[in-house]
Amino acid sequence: MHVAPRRLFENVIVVQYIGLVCVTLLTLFGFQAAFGNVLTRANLEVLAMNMVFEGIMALGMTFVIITGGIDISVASVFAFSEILVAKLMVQAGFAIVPAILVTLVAAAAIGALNGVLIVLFRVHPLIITMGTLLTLRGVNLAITDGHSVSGFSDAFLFLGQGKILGINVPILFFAGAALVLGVLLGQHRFFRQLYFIGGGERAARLSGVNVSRVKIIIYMLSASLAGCAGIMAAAKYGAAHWAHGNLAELKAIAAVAIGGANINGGSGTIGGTVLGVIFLAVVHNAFVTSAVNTFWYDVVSGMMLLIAVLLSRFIALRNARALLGLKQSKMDQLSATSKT
Amino acid sequence: MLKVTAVSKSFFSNKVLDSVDIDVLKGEVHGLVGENGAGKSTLINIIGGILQRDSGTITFDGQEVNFAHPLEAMAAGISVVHQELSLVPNATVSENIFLRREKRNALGLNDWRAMTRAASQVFERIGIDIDPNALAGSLSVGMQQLVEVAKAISIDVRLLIMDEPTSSLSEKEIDELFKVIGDLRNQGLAIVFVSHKLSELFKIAGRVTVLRDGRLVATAETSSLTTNDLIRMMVGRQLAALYPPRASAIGDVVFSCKSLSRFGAVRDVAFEVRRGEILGLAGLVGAGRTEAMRALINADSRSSGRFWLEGVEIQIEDPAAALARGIIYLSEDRKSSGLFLTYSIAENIGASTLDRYADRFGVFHFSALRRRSREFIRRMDIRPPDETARVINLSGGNQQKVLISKALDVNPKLLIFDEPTRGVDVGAKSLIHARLRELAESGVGVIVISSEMPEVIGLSDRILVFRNGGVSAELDNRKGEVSQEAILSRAVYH
Amino acid sequence: MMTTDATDATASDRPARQAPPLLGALASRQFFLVLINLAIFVALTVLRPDAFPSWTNLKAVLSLMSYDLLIAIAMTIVLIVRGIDLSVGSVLALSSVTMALLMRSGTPVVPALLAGLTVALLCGLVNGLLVAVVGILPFLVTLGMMSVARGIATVLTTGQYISFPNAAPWFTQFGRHEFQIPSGLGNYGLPVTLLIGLALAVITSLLFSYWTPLRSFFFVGESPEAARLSGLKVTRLTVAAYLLSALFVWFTAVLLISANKIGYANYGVGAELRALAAAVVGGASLAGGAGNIFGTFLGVLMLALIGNGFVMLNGNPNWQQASVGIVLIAAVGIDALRTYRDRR
Repeated sequence: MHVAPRRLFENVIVVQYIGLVCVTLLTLFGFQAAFGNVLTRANLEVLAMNMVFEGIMALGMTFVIITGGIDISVASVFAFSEILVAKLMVQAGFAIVPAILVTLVAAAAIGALNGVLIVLFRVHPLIITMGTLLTLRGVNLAITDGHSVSGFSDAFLFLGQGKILGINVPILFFAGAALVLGVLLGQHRFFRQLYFIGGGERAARLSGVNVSRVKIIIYMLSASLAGCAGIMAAAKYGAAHWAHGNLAELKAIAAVAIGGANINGGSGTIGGTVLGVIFLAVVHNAFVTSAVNTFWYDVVSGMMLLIAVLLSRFIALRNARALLGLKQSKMDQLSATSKT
Repeated sequence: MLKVTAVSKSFFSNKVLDSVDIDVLKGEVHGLVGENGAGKSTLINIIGGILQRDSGTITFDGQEVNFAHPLEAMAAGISVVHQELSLVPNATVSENIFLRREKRNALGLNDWRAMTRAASQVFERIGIDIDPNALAGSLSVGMQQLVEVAKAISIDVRLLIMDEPTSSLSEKEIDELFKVIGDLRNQGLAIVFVSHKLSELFKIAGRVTVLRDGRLVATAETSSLTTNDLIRMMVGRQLAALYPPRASAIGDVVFSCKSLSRFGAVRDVAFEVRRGEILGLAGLVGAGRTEAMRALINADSRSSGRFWLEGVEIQIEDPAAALARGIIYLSEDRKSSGLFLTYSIAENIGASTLDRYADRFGVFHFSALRRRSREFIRRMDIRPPDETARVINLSGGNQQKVLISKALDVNPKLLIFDEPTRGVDVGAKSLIHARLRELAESGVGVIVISSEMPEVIGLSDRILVFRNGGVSAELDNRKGEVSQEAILSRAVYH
Repeated sequence: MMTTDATDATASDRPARQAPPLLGALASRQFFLVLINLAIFVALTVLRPDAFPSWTNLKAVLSLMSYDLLIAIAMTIVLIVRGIDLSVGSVLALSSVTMALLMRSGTPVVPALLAGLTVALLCGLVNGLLVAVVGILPFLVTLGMMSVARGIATVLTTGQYISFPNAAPWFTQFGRHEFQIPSGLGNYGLPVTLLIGLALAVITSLLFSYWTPLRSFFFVGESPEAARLSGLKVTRLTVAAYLLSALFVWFTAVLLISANKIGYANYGVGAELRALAAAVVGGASLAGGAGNIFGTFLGVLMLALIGNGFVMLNGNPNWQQASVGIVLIAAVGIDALRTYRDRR
């Protein structure tokens, strides 16, 4: 994906990706052998659709995490978008396109609010987005009074349940978004700035990066993607409910972490996140295939996050050790060849 | 090229610059010196557009200028290389150089080839060879500094300001940097060079301007000055001797160490420290001095090492165990691993000795801590003399004094001090040196790591030269073995 | 000589924090919070003079507050060591469920309570070890634990209420017990839970300010690297903080199941965010090294009053959740503004 050739650092990342792909394939084939029915078209669809919305949110999360921030409000924006688009169409009589547009604008506005508050108050994004999460969750509950909203037209349902060229619409969206965002992150100078911000805000600012503007745009992007996901989810489930998207932020963060991004910022790629999403989808599906009790979902999600982070920690420690090994051999070399 | 006239700046009621004049000519390296708080950083930040002056005029290339933002200054041809390296590790060298000015193609995406070419051109101009497509994080500190310089001159630069560029560089890397600076000067660039290291200024600067307490003291040709002259101008008093006299009597061994190793960093280090002596660790940055001392207290895990304290073999499992035995290590990076920045002077001083101030029920006695802190404030001349003042507001020198006080409160048997005067002004420096000598004379073993050749030579009784993770030489000052050449020759490979 | 001002200039990108008191005087932040609480109290009394100031209403507010208070103290402890514990609500549920299930199946009260304690401590231990030994970000660790703990609680109970009618009556009665204060004007009952909560808060507050072993927590949070080189056992202290937090979570679980007479997997949903809001409002910082139990108490009180205010004025309990979020943002915003101003 990158035109410019890189060196030492990227080789390590490539190894990580290959490792991830291997583990994913192993799990896939392993469960196929144990339980059968995994590699069928039907199951693969279920597998993909299960994580597609969290995957879309993970794409936005990648940008936010690279800048060293975090956005845990995505799950509530997701639910909010579901509810808003539903209410606009069903209760306010909007046509599909205007309803979607208004919802996307609303989602972007929430993202902008996040960004503005973070920039203005210079408080850790965790707190601000947590506040947004709480507030929106409460709002979602309040405006629906706990009920779901349904009654969509078939045209709208197509957005979530339909297929183009045999592939589900949401999955197409995910793939398309991943492609575009990946190219932008790798090649477009606006998005390259994310790494500069993640590497050191003060320095970036002094170099002329408009840190505030970039951050606000990034949080808007994250919220907008959550909004897109929410709209498609409403279409897929045929109903909007305030409790949808529970723990979605956890899965999105897990995907980004597994994909090799440093949670503290400064590194990460869309490609890695995509691999992380696929990995999580496979593992989740494996568990679903084998387990019966649906109450285990949350336990599994939590475990996945912990494993994901343990994995990236393990890889980081192993990389550090490898680096030390390099240094040691350099030292030995140098002392062997010296005479003084 | 640049003429600054009667520039003043205040932060609230604090007058930081008081009617300062400075002028820099084309093709000149102009040094700027002063104690911490003298106003050097403020002055260059104003010239560079990062701060705005309150009064006075700045004329650049014949025109009066008024920069509201660093980018405006850059557009005019003024570039600043800051003390802290600010390259982004995960972006390429060329991206770091051309940040915000990237070459784009028709789609708006980065044109890597054009950037690579442009970066190579800049590198050629200053005669260095770095791969523009390497990730900045894979370069050594010295090379990163050179990339910073490249970044600064990649614009149409006419005035280059360098703020303490050599603080993290080894002697060899400093020489390379000076060669580059010399080339740039010969090409007609006007350069301002801020430094604490007086020897560097004599090496590279044609003229030097001395600031003291926000006022201009003098501007003179470096050839007409001696170090003592400069120091006198900087502190307003003649310092009797730069370094306290060396030990008169050296006692028996208080601490010794054998086969100290850390995988990837330290190779089989062995040494002894005697009572009354200061053992200096010299060598290039990265030679393993800090790594060895950290491995000693097991702050970074060591792979081997045996230690004897006062003749008895001991185990050092972690820094806490080391402290329990009276061995304390003061980090070279006081901001991140030495001080508790938002806490007060008193709390910092008592951080290692919390139990001392607790009664038998564990209740903490603030009054005792405050009393003790006031003693230290007096002894070490810490300013402001207020034990409840927050450490983050102190100057570098005073922060370092707080750090020493913390170590002294432990009543250590062995003090390991990593870069005792980094970022410290001259006045505080000599006080710190004096205290270290006093400490050694009182029977405490003192190990000092220093990258400043004059300091390590002036302070130590014996010097261990580190190279490639191990000790390459032991030089005894009393036997006259110590000299800059001797140290340097054992610090590098040739 | 200056007195310690809690909101003095701080490091550039960190929110305002409070250093442990050298003088023990009330810092300006707490004063400010007391004022706010008084203002809300007065406002509600004026707006609803019949409903709000009645002892029945106030008692209800204060009783409910007890649980939030203990959880918020748990959160404060972890914040001090630069951590965060998003799993407090879920561990509360899991612990309560454990104790309820055991008591229902005939286990006597005390062993059941101890089992609940063990479960909570185990979760705390896992959290602490993953954070301090493995080095994973506390936010991520406790996010995962939150999901796992609540998931296990749900699996164990399939989402149902777990009652324990066979348990010793002294246990089920003490949760609702009130100490009657005879007064000429009528009967005022002081709920036991409130008294226990306040007592624990006072004790913890004093301990953290004056007891040396707990003072080291602050140093660990302010700069773990400096603390390590200063001879503090950072790993041990961090794990201890999470264990202590778990202890408080268990306290809450005990009081809760005694009062409600059921264990339930959905206890404490959203509790972690309320606790975080209260702790940060009260002076704790996500960057560690700061935290004040009294401040946390004032924060919890404020949230309780605001929530009650919503009920008094609006009637729709659903907006309560939203209000906590707004409070969090507002409180942090005000705090950040003060820091920004003081920093100049």
